Amino acid sequence: MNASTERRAQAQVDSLTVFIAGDAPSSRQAMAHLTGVLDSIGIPPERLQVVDVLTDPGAALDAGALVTPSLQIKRGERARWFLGDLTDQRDLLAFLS
Amino acid sequence: MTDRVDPTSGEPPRGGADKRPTGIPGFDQLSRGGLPAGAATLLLGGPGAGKTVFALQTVVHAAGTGGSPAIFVAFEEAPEAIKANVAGFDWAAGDAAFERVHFLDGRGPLQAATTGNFDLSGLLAQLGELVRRQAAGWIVLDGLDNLLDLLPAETDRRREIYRIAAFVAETGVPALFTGKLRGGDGEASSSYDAMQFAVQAVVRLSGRLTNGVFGRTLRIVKYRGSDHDNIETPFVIDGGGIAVAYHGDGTPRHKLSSDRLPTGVAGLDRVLDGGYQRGYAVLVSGAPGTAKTTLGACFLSAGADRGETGLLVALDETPEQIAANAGGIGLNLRQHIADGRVRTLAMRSASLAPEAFFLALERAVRAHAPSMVVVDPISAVMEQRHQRGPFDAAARLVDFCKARGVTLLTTTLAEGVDEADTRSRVSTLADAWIALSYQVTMGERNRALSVVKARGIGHSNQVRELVIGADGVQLAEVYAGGGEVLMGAARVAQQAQDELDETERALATERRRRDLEQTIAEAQSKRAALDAALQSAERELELTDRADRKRRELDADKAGRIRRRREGGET
Repeated sequence: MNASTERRAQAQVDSLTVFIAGDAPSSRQAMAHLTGVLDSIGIPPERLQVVDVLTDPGAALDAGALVTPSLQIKRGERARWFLGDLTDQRDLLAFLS
Repeated sequence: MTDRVDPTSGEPPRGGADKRPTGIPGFDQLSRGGLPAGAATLLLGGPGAGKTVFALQTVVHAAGTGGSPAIFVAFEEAPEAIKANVAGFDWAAGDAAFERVHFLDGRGPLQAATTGNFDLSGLLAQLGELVRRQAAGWIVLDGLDNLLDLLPAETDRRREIYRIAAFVAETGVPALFTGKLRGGDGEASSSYDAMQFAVQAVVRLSGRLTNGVFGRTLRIVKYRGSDHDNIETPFVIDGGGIAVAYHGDGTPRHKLSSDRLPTGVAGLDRVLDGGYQRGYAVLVSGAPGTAKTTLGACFLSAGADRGETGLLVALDETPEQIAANAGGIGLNLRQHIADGRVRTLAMRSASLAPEAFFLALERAVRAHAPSMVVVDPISAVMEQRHQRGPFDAAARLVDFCKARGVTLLTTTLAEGVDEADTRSRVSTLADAWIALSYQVTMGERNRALSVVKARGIGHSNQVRELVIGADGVQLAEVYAGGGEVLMGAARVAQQAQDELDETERALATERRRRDLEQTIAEAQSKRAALDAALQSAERELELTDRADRKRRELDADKAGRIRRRREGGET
């Protein structure tokens, strides 16, 4: 991915929050996939907020995160959710690119 | 609405496992106390079956009686839409208990992109947090299948279902899950296949059209570790929410009394040895125009005159019209209605399921606690022949009234005694059955009344004429002629002839009496004359005797003086 694509992806995202459930296999898998995706489009890992619903259920309640793993991407007032372990990353990449 | 008493006895339902009452009339009796405490219950039903109403009514009741708030997660409709849908119920909008229901919009995931495996840890975390924060007393997951269906594999769905059930058991907060049946009464959504095994209780709600009337039923399909009645039971949804027409466990408990209530019909009280027994179920059957409604009005009016309270249930006719008609024969029913001594309930029977009718009546009885109830005519809602529903409903009504010592009078349209049983089948439940009919004689119709049965009361089996006039209703004195009871003009003509014969007999007797009196007088007169003659003769005889004795004395004296002169002693 070239530099212009990275800048565009970063500019399009206000916040990235992933909701996981401890070290559940699907959560671990989601983190791995997500790290790869962010790296591929040049978003630094520190921009990703990780919420463990088992230790911080209040955050899940505030965000309305019903399933884990799930990724919430905010652009302005709009929030887009991606549910699952991100095995299939095409939709996510298309959204971020 | 709170109803934690047995529908037949008025007593609290018998318990079993630890349960939470739903507050749904009839259901807590059907389930022997409510839904499992600390476990999950699944409500299954087609679209519009009443699942959401059932769930909300239950949690609002709990919030109202115990004060515990509830968590309601809406996976299918927006919370605002659900609130709007139930706003018409007594317990919904504006009710403080309803405000204690915390709604969560669970539709978010439905609009999200799914990219692989996931689980419902977020949902459980949220529920756990809310339970902790609010000390919730109930959890409702409404339309959970919408979320479960996003899971790619059946094994994933089953796993999550058991996780949710385990969560409920761990927190100890009772939960209600609602789920769709395909095609109304069809199979459950596949997401619920495992759910039916994971939960402690399953309640299935159905609706079907019968003879153009939509009727609802529910059945407790499963209730692990608890006594319950698993019969399919009708229910209605009206302004009070869901009410289940549960008939009890088959053991009627009646309040018995030897007290009598006046029938309001002059002569009928005597026939029934004092009137209707309090707590009686009375059936008045008859063809159109035989005065069934009038007998009901007489009963209500006479009872209210005596201080009793009544409920007039009018089907397809307004209570005002019935009261106006009653006024025409001198009854005070209109005034009793105006005073509130007699309450009214009017309904159209055309689209009325029997259970809806009887449940509405039950509510009215609970609200007003009358000692007399008149249903006119009960046959209007019992025309669905050869079905158990109407009969069960009627049996429930009779037991319900008897358990409260309420005297129930129902009228039923019937041409004859046999048909009355076919149409309403209430006659088998009734303690007293009064049959009204027409008797056609001399070109006129006359109303006839007979007491077919009156349990525990010595009563006449005589057919009598029912006479309705401006001064009320009365039974005419039995007038037999030619081997049958005469009625109407025949009775009047026979009465007139009998009166004429009686008059002639009286006149003849009077004449004979006068003749004899004259004869006696004449004889007495003769006897008096003879007595006088006798007395005169006797007096004459006495005088004659006395004169004779004087003459003899004088003669004797004279003879003595002559003798003495002759003997020289006398000069």
